[in-house]
Amino acid sequence: MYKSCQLVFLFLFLLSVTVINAQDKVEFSVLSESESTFTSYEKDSAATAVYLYEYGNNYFEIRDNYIWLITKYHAKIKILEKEGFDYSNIEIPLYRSKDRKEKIVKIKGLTHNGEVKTYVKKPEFFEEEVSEKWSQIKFTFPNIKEGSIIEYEYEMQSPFYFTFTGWSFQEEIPKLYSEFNAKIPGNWLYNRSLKGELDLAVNEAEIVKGCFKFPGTKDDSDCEALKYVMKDIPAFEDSEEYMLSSNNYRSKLEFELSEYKSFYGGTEKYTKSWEDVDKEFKTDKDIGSQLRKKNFFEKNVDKKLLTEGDELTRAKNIFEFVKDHFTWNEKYSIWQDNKVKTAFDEKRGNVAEINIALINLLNAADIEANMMVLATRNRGLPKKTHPVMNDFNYLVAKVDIGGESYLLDATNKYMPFGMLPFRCLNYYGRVMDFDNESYWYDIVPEKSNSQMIRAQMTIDPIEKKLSGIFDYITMGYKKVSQEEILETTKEEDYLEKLEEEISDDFHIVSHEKKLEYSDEKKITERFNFEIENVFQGDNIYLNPFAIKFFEKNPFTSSERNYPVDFGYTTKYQYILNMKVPDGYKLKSIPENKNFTLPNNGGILKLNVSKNEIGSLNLFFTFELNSAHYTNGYYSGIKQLFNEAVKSQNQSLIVLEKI
Amino acid sequence: MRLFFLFLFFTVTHTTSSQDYSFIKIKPSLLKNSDAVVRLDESTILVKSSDYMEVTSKRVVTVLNESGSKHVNATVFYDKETSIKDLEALILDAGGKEIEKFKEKDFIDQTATGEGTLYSDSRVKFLRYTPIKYPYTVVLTKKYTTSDTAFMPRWYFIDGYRLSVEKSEFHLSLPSNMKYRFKDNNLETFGVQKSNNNIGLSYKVVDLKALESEDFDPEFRDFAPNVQLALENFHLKGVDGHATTWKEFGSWIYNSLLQERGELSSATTQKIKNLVKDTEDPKEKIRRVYQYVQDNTRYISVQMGIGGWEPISANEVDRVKYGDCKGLTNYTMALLKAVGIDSYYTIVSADSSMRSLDYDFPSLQGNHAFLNVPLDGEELWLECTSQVVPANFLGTFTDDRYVLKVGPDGGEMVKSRKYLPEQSKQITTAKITIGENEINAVVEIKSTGIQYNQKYGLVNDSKEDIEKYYKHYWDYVNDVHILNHDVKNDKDSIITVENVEFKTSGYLSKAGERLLFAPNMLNRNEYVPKRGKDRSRDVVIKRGYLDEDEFLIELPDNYEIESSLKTIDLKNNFGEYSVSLIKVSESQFKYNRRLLIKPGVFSNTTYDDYRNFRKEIAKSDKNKIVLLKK
Repeated sequence: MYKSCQLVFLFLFLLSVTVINAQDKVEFSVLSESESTFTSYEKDSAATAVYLYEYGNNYFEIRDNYIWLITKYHAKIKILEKEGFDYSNIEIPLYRSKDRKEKIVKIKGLTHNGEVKTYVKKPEFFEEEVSEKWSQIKFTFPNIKEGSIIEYEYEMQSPFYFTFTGWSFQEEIPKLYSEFNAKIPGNWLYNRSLKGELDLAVNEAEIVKGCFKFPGTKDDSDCEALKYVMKDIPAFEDSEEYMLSSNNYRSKLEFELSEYKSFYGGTEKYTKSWEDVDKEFKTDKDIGSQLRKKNFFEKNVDKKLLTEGDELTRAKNIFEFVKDHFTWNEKYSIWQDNKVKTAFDEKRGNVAEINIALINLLNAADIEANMMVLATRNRGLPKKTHPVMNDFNYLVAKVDIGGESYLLDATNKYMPFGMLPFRCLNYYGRVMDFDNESYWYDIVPEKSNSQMIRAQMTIDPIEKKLSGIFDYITMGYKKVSQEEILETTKEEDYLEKLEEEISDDFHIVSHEKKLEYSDEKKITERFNFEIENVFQGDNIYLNPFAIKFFEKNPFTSSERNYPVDFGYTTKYQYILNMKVPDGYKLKSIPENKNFTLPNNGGILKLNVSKNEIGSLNLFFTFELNSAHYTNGYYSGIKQLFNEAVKSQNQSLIVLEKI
Repeated sequence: MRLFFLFLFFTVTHTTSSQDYSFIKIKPSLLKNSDAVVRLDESTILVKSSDYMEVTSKRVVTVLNESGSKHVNATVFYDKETSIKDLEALILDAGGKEIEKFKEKDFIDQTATGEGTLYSDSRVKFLRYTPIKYPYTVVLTKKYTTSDTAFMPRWYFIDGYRLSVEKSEFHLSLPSNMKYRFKDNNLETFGVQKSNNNIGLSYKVVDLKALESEDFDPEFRDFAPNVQLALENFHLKGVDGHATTWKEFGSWIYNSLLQERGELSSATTQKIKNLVKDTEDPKEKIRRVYQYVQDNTRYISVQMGIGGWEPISANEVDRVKYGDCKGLTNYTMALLKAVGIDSYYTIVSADSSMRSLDYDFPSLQGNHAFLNVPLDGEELWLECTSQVVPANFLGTFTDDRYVLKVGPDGGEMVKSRKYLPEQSKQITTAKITIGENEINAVVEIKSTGIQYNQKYGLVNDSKEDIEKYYKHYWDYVNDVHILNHDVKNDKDSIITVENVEFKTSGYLSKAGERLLFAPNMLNRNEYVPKRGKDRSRDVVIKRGYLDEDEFLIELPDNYEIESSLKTIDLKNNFGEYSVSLIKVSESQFKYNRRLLIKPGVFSNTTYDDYRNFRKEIAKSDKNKIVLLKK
């Protein structure tokens, strides 16, 4: 189907090119009045450097019998502080295939210090091989001081039309002016979209008649000439705790090649509509054919796996089998050459290979299973307006059994049936149904994710010791991480680490996993413990939270730029029953607390009571009922966490000697 | 040239693939505490001339679990002078059966440009392998040739913690007319056998058990067995060299790499002379020149060929205003010379582990250059790659170790500056006002010495980062609201002064009429070393420091102290710790704390004492007082 790396180039018989001149453009090495007098950026006093000017132009041109995609780039950056010196180290990535490559054909660099101009010398531009597919041009500017303006300009020619992916308006430092131009002959169609919240100052698109002359054809092609400008672009505030990909918020113009009409007639479609995608997908030799390897899998697994039990049992058995059979090589690689059979033989594969093997096996067992493509949280949300295959970087199985749907990913050994790894909790994906049309499908994370402690404690006032048992119950995603810890750590090391984390006076007397209270999505562990030196003097001052879920508020910033996204809902619960020792009475107990977020978004509750038989009951619950909160909730969430930390760290029980 | 090869009494057997590397053949004693077992590590260096050597090695590692994979070491560096002749890896399953094969082209080929380097011609090939099952075994064979004989690889019979060794062999062979030096360390305790003569040497050891890392360990190289080698006549990136002493090494560096790289244009010379013309004080001249370098240059590293060793010329730095440590040090040296001050290019092994250049084994060592300026019997030090560090200040990167001073008279080993604990001092004074719900703290922190090193960078941080820093620094105080802060870096006296005011409602515990308050709200030391299990090695504390704290605590209205703190006064070989809380007035108390940590090497048997000392401190720093409503 989608060929991200297909190269389109043409051999031409004649050499005659007509290109309409690009728009008037700022001359290299000449600063405008306002640029040379620029001293500080008032809108952002923290900026260490600022783009005064940035210009890009993309167009097609025939050179040496090939049609090249030309990129011209020109930038001027004012260095405001020493901390901004790093912006004078430039890297320009260049892509290549086996036989063709992108090339910088012209490049210039210059540092302005007032009237003094210092150029980057030719040997000071380095080309570095980075990997099989990439190299880069690296250079730095001479004579940099606070107040220098660095300026550079280059022209790149590319034989690849798909590497034209757009224009990044917003970066780590602010920009006063950023202009993007493109002139695209009608033969090439690119899907385009503007991301982020900033507005365009100039948004022009016009048809230029007969702008591209292709030798040997009768009519010249018309072009679409585009000009987009943004002004006063603020710096992009980088990542915060618990957020989705910054790609969702950064202002950027995205292009994706959707169609190329050959000058000889015939059309190469890349992506256009989901109908096209579906059609290509069904006849596709790559992923599509990989999904049709049912026979291979039937032959290579135990027949019982595919036939024994009802549908759900078979699906679960197959899922366990695939998880166990494969080791994930930490790669996603969903659009590259996938070899499901080889991966199966080698017992190792990328996300696509493992999950396609899973789908094949499910199909072989007569279970309705389809491929769903999605984007990981780091990647950003896929566009829903039109298919942009590059948006997707992950693939899972969607299984339908008896009216219920399950999403499966067999790359993580500890993931229960029906739960996706955290990296996949990114709202929705597209299910590629072989028999019908593809459709969007929501990723609904597991709902019960909790850490619970149920404790019973007694105080020994003579030994000044606290002892008892507690059950530690983890569910959902919390269970998955706990299981990974339990499976990969020796019990001795696990307990030692736990003791060290809680306190030096904390000793675990015994520990066991309660199998009768554990299942696929839940682990119950029982601990017998003692805490020494819990108090001094005659009165007993005691924090009833002998074990804490967390001691710090993960949110410390006073402001928040982006929504808070936890991926899934969470509950923390602590239930304690404590006996008051003979000869003592409860003098005071913590105050009850009850906080809620609007719309039932979250709860924090602390309830402490004493009963007649001389014991104390404590109930604490902290629940985040939503996976996603808009900025408006930020101060509320921060406060809720604050109260949760306070409850755990500062609660106090006073027992007095009678 | 005719070569005479040595037949050593350990025959160099090139084991064939029929060798049994199955997991069950490993002795149980080698599985204890190991993540991986080196079945065989064998390397032969064949020196043919002072500018040609061939290094052949075979390394077989059985990886027992995920953390063991890092011991495979399937990596080889190369550049223009070094070419890879053979490179192959076989993967064996637990039974010792070959399951996969990687040829040289299957290795990942990448630039070995480090962080902070713009460009380097050094490259690396390495194996990327995802194991499907543990244990598995990697048989790595490699061979490279190089003209750079200045670096003879140092041989470690065991290369890390949690790794055991079945057999490790090392051989050197060279023509009889070529002289070499070697130094082997810590062989006896590990039972390494050796033989050597004028045409080579040979070592062998079997069955080394895995070592566990422990807190406050000595450096690994200081107790693990290893061999260092050097040729008397060597070659480096096209340059010949000869040296057997540090003095000769210094001469070679001076004559071959530094000479004639200190020229400056007359304009620059004049400019720098003008800069100091109104002062006769050499210290002031040094300060101004150093300031000039800091204001006008920045650190950029480009490493190509001999450029990895030879500084770019002072003139070139003057033009582009950037350079790496060598270039900037050489440039500063040239500028100082222009104003009549002699200084010395100095080579150091820079990192916080305080590693000295090996006093007893002169060879090409070190990874950094800085400048030494002798002045009336005093040694001044200039770190030329930083734009912010004060003149004559060394941080943990270069302090207290042997370094090589290079000059026209050759090399000289000297010790760089050491800071005594009393010089690495932090004084915290504060006024803490307790309200029934909220606490306000006005704090001043003064830091010098190594503690200054951790602070001076703050001055250049953004307001947001500084706030984050304090929230982290006082992370045992919940809900810190910074009201204002100000950080001053006095570069003349080399001291930072921080002034911070904050409030919090997340610190007091309240129960009815009582409030619980831990007086050490501003400088806790919560670190407790790990519980020791049969401590075997010395306890090494590299740097000491002194903290002094004085907090004036204002109680809320109508409260009195129901239960106070016990006065503590501890003194032992590791340091001193004292705490007191005294009444100043009806509503005011003064908390005083002093913590001195002494550096030193202490015997293994004292580990628990040290741990208990730190435990006591950690606990006392958390102690609370009880306030009762009157």
